[in-house]
Amino acid sequence: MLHLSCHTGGRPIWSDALCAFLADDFNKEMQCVGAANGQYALDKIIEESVIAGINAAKLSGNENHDFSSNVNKELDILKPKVETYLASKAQAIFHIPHAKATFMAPKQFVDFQLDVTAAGIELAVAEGFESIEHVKRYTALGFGTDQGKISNINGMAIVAKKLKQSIAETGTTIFRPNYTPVTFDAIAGRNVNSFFDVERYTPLHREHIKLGALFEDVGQWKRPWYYPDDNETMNEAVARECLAVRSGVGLLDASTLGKIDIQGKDAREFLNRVYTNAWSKLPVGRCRYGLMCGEDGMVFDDGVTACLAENHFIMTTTTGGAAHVYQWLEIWHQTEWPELDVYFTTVTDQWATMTISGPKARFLLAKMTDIDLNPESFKFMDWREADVVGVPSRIFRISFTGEQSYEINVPANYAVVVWEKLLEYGQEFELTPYGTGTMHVLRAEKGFIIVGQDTDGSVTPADLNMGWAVAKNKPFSFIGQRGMNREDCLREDRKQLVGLKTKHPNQVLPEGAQIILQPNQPIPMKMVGHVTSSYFSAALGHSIAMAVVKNGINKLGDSVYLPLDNGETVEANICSPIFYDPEGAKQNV
Amino acid sequence: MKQINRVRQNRSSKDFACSRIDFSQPIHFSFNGKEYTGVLGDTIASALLANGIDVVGRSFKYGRPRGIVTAGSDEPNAILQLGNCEATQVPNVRATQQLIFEGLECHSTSGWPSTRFHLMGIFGALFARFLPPGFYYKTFMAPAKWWKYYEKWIRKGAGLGRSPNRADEDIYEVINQHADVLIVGAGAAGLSAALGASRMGARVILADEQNEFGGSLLSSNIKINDRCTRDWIDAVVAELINYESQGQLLLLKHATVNGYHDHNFLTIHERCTDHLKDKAAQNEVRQRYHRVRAKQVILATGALERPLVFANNDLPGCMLASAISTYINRYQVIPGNTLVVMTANDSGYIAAIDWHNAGRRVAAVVDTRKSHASELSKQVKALGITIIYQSAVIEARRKRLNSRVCSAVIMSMDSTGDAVKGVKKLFCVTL
Amino acid sequence: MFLIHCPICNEPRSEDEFHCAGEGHIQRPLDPMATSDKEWGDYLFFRSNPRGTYRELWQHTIGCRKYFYIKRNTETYQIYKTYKLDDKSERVALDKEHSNKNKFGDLL
Ligand SMILES: [Zn+2]
Repeated sequence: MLHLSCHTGGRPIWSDALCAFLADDFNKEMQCVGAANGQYALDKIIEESVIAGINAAKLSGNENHDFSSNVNKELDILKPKVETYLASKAQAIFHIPHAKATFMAPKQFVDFQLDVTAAGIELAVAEGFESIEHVKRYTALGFGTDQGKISNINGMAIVAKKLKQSIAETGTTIFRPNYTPVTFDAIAGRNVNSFFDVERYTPLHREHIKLGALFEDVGQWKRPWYYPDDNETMNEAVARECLAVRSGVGLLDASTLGKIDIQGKDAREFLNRVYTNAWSKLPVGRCRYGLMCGEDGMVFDDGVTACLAENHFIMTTTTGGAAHVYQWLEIWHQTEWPELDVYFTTVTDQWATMTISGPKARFLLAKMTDIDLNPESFKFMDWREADVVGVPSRIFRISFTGEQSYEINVPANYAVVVWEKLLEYGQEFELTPYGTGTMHVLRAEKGFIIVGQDTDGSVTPADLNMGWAVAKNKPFSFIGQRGMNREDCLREDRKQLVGLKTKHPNQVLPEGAQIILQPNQPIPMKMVGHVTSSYFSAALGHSIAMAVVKNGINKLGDSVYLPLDNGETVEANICSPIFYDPEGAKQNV
Repeated sequence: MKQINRVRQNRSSKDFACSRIDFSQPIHFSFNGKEYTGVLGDTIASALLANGIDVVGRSFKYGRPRGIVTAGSDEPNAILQLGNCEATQVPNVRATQQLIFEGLECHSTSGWPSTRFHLMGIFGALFARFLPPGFYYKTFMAPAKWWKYYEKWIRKGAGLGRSPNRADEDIYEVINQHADVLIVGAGAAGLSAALGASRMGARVILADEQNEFGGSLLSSNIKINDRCTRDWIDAVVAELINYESQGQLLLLKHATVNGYHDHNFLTIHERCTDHLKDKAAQNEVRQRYHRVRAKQVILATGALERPLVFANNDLPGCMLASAISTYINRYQVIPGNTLVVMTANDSGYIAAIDWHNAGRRVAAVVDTRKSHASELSKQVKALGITIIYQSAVIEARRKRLNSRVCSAVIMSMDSTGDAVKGVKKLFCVTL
Repeated sequence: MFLIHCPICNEPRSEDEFHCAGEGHIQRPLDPMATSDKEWGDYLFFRSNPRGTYRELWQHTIGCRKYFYIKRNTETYQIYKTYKLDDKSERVALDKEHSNKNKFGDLL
């Protein structure tokens, strides 16, 4: 039985003397004994096996033990007297011929489980299948749950005879795990139900449950999706939350965003190399948005990084990309630029982030802290250290909604206190908690991308019309610069990010819908792009969509068509993806 | 139903000293909805054979009736669906490996609508000539879009078992293990190796897929130190248990080493309660998956007997010689009345001797080799059994479409074994 | 399932703890913008994928998080050695293998 010895790559060797296969010496840490080693005489088996056991013990670091110290030598059960027979030599016969030719005779089964017959194998060989692996796949020999335990050798012998070669020349097929079927339960063990996959909760998870939130899976995170009132549907709740942010103030738990603490005197230079834009002149107290590209020039993450001190930055990443970005920074530092003096620590779980957003955000924040919130001194893209209801905090004035917006970062253990105080002081401003559903609509109204939704690993910053985030004159060639300057990346007809407005304002396009230029084409139609994000905007009163369209940036105002799976074809106009407050006035006030 | 093929109880004490089944404990179970009785220590296979059950399934492509062929994990036909309720359904259980317990329920996986009347069987009999190899590729692949209709029927007709449609409530465990020496198989070789390594002070894991240690010794009438093999096994296991109590050794029964992965990483599937009950008790682990990193591995997995390929060799009643010895010596079951043995080596003679000693008739031993005078052949002759040299069973025959084997066609062979001449017909029930 | 000796932790650990980062000893062009599209494409997309000896970059992700090299056989999965990033001996051996290959290539 050599099944196991083949799992890691060993090939059985045919022994004509024994009419059997034996294991090769592929694996030096493995030995076969007994009948598996072609030994059939019981006294020899015991003798050989004891020696093998002793040797294995020695090779695994037990060479100093005295084997016979506690064994009675005269009566050792490992030296028994066994009756033996002198056996006569076996004959190598596998397939008993019939008086009729094989294909005319009654069926001669080789593999019982899959009904493979001798005639079938001979036919396969006659049809030109000469490799035993091909015969196996063609006839299904040894395919069943018995893995060819009793059928394989006979099958090989018949192939060998038909091809007029030896069994050794024919070779064997390879056995693979498992030897016998294993239940999925056993493989899963205790990792079932709530232990099936890791779930990550923000420090505010229980507060969201209290408010009746429904949750969305984002990677391993559970994020609040929306907070329905009584009998609200998702669309109704999201519309209400959106309008609350646009007209008053909303509250979002943004703790899941990846946070990496970066320190060292070369931290700034390191950022210059991993981000597409320039970091040399970012002063302490300011934040900057950055795009990260692979060596191929394609966007793979984005986020805001703040300068905490001259040699100290805090980088935020997308929720799903945090682990990858962290690894990305490490590999470049360790393998390419070990000379740079820079250190990284992931602090995602150490900080909780609560974002208040909307025209009344500043009034609310003023109730919670004494620092100067005057927009002339605490400007858009500034950050300040602050005492918020007695908790030491970092407040970043950045915006993913297009409204006046403050991200309050507090040590995770203080999150609940600050959250409770926000709700308390927020009553006066009708503070509305909102979830990822609303966050998506608000950012799409502003044309802000979500990496992984509006990009798919084949999109450059230029394709996103974000050339402004790519530095032209950095001294060191940053990651992605060479890639995005390949000939193919400079083509004009690449798919580019644009907005779409449907002709009927209430029609919400399905995400993933394909875009064509001529509505009445024969199938297959010429597809020029697809919808990446699509929502109904309560603030604007019509649907909005983001899409990638070939040469789309030069096609503003053009009509395109979207054939849907229900047979309907929808007409839409290409527009700027910034649907709301295109001047950016509201986030600056 | 009576256990018609069980060796009479009063013979057990003397002739079957190695057998460990317990006649005092009858066990009731059901197969395809019908009640049967076996005894403690029986596998489903031995209990079914004891009850004279011929057909345990249908073949995959032609739907031919199939019986039990082996007595171990190599069993190709007796593949059953187990489970008393939806949550405990397990497909692909080999009847030769599953012990019976009170109230066990099992079904043939291949045999819809029933093992006796079978849709594919009729297909197979009528159209068998037209089902060549590559049949699935050739016929069903084009047009590809029809596959979804074929597949349902083929799968149902072929019967590959089914998955449960309710969640399994039992507890399962995964354990990481580290060992100096992992020994696979606890027959004579594995037991000896385990003791050798243990006496050297190594940390040893010994795993065997059967319900007791001993391997082929459990089926053998050979004498060790003039006593039956059981005494030797007991002595070795006693010493091993002593090492186990010191925490140096781990003995695993019902534990199949299933995968041998890189750098001596092996996986063992231990079935803790499957042989005892349908559903584990609360807080009891039903199966355990051991992930073992071993410094050294010893494979003492024994050998499998290879069947000879001849016409109609799949008829119920055609079995491996080693399986016959196992059923007689270990389970006290004689799967038939009259035996014809075909062999190309000496091991076939042992089955003939066991069968004869169990009190039933051996029609002949058909040896493909030229006349010889091995010790075993002399013993067989002394019992008055006919030996036919340089001949082979070329075909098994049956009376009716669904009946078991009833006769064997024997022809003598030329010296190369490539051609046959002359016909002789013998009646038999088991081959 | 490999058993990998982390040269930083100096301990054999299970493969689960590691993450493979592809072929090792790939030299990034010192001035990427000065490379031709072909040179850049060779660096970015093409790997040797040999049958036999291979040197790979791995990270001890659930451990010390350090990257290091593994020299292993892609056919047998044998690991010849693991070594730190600043170990230059294999770099030298690799260069020798390449120059030999080029030499024989010229002869043919
Ligand atoms: Zn390490």
